[in-house]
Amino acid sequence: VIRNLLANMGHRRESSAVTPKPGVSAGRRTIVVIDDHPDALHAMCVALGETYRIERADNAEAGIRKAFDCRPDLILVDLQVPAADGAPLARRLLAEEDLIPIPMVALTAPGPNGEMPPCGQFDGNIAKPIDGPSLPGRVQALLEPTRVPSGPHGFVPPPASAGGRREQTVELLDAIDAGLPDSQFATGTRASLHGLADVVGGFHQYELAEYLQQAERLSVVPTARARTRFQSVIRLCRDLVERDTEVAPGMADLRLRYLDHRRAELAGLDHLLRDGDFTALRKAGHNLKGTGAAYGFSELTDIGRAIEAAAKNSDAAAIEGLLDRIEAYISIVKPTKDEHATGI
Amino acid sequence: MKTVEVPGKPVRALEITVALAGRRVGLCGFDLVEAETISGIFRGIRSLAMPLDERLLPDSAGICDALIIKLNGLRAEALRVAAASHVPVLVIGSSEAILEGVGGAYRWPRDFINDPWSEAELLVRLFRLFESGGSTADVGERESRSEPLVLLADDDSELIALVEITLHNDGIQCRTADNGLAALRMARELLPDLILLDIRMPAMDGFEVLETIRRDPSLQTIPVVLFTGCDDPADVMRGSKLRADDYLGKPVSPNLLLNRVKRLLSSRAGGSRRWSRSLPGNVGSHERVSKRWIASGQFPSEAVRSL
Repeated sequence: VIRNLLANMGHRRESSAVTPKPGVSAGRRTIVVIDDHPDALHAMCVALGETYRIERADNAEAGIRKAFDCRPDLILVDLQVPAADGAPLARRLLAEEDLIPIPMVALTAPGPNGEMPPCGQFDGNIAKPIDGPSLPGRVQALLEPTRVPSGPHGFVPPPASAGGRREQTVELLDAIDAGLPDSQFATGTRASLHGLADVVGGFHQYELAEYLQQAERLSVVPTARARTRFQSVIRLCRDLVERDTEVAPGMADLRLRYLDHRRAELAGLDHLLRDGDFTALRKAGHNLKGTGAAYGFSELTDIGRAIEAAAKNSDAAAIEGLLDRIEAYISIVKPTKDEHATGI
Repeated sequence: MKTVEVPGKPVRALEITVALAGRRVGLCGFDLVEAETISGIFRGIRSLAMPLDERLLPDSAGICDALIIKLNGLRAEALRVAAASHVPVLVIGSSEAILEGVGGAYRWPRDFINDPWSEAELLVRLFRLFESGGSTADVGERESRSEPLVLLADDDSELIALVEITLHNDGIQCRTADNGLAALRMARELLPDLILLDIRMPAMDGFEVLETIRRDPSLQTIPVVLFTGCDDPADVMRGSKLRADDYLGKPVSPNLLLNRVKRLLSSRAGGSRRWSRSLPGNVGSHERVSKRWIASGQFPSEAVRSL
């Protein structure tokens, strides 16, 4: 029964993933461009219009709606587009689970010396103002499939059957960690994750089974966000395995509440960032560092530590990227109540 | 008068500071200038005095630890609400107003001050109200405590929630304070079996609290675990010098925390007193301790120092 339940959960999640709409991408590929500057929108339509079908949006809400409606092959987004609810557009797009398989490229202005900022969770960035003649080539390259199952860790073996569940899980997580980022797509990773999810699900460890299934789904998606998420999910699995205590009564609810608070706190942190209040940001990072891993979310502790350090250096850009990471991380964590209240 | 001996002052000052620290006191019937003056006095001893709208007194009195009301200009209805309140009430007014208006209408704990009042008298009388109001744990009650009691001092509500549920699930009572002074006051009132103490806290940091605990005969044998997110090894050294019993760096796994807490509790429970830690025989040496504390120049309020 449990195996069927898990299989159905997996099926439901897979069916909700983005698939190209019949008839839309059958001919030309579709690109959603989100930019509130009419000249930039026009320049991109001129440069790409002959080869691709372009869907334009000049505000955040319309852009997100178009992305869901069109199921495009690529999203080009200007990070400066204001969002209606105040949350940065990039953060909302990056955290949308259903858009993860779609490559997303940031349109950003280069620094004073012409250098481009780091891509973060984007699959690339294109400098503004747009260089029309070179744009089709950049877009073409971004639409090419990017499989990377090569290198010394190209094969992740299935866990040895002799060990218990804990040993098998640790062995698999170690193998994946050792080979990252290639091991995400490596031969055997998907099958091993699938098999282990079945095993731990059979022992009522639903939370771990859910994360293993998430990792399995992400192991075939080649976008930058999928890569970040895959690593976060593997880390969550390790957090669960290393949680050497029983799941105490009430703890699942407390962990959910903790995540809700972190989500609600993001808006306040945005305000602090806009106001340049690095003292308060440092304190917030310090608190996040001190509580994340205690609740079983070690990545939040790392993010908190990084926020604390960035706030100390008044590094607003770094903090903005870290707030994006919090939102993306929270969207993948789904604490569930294990039936027999057990760790692994 | 013999009763106002100089050596007695520091004792009273220390006791008053600790007893009033972290309290929330509601002010009613004062004009803006006077309310601000009183707020300043309480800020000096790390407490909060807030003006209350007399029309909202029935609701707002409940969130206060005590009320200070001024009779002149206060409506009869507000007076009735204050009189019926279950928190200590300090009444300020002229002798005539007190006698005519409310003389016998107040139940204990209540006290009165003639207007004009002085800072020192205000604090001393409020302190006496708290003392007489039974806020300090009863010795017999502590002796009979069947479950161990842990006091957690931390200003992070998320950590408080996690520690509370972790300890509660294992049958350990947990009381919490969100600043150092309140922790000290609660430690004195509750005499807990163990104190978990964050280092970076408002009002009074963990080191200061620990130092005070170790100098207080009634508290000094309580195990204290420093519980902090600071990675600086100097903090560990300082905690060690101040005789902290253990040191837990944040983030700490609930399991590890529980193991440490249980280990320290069981080592304390090995004696004849089991969980209880009341030491009534030591109370007399409070004076000697407080003299040292004040001599070190760490006293927060000029108003209290002048008592």
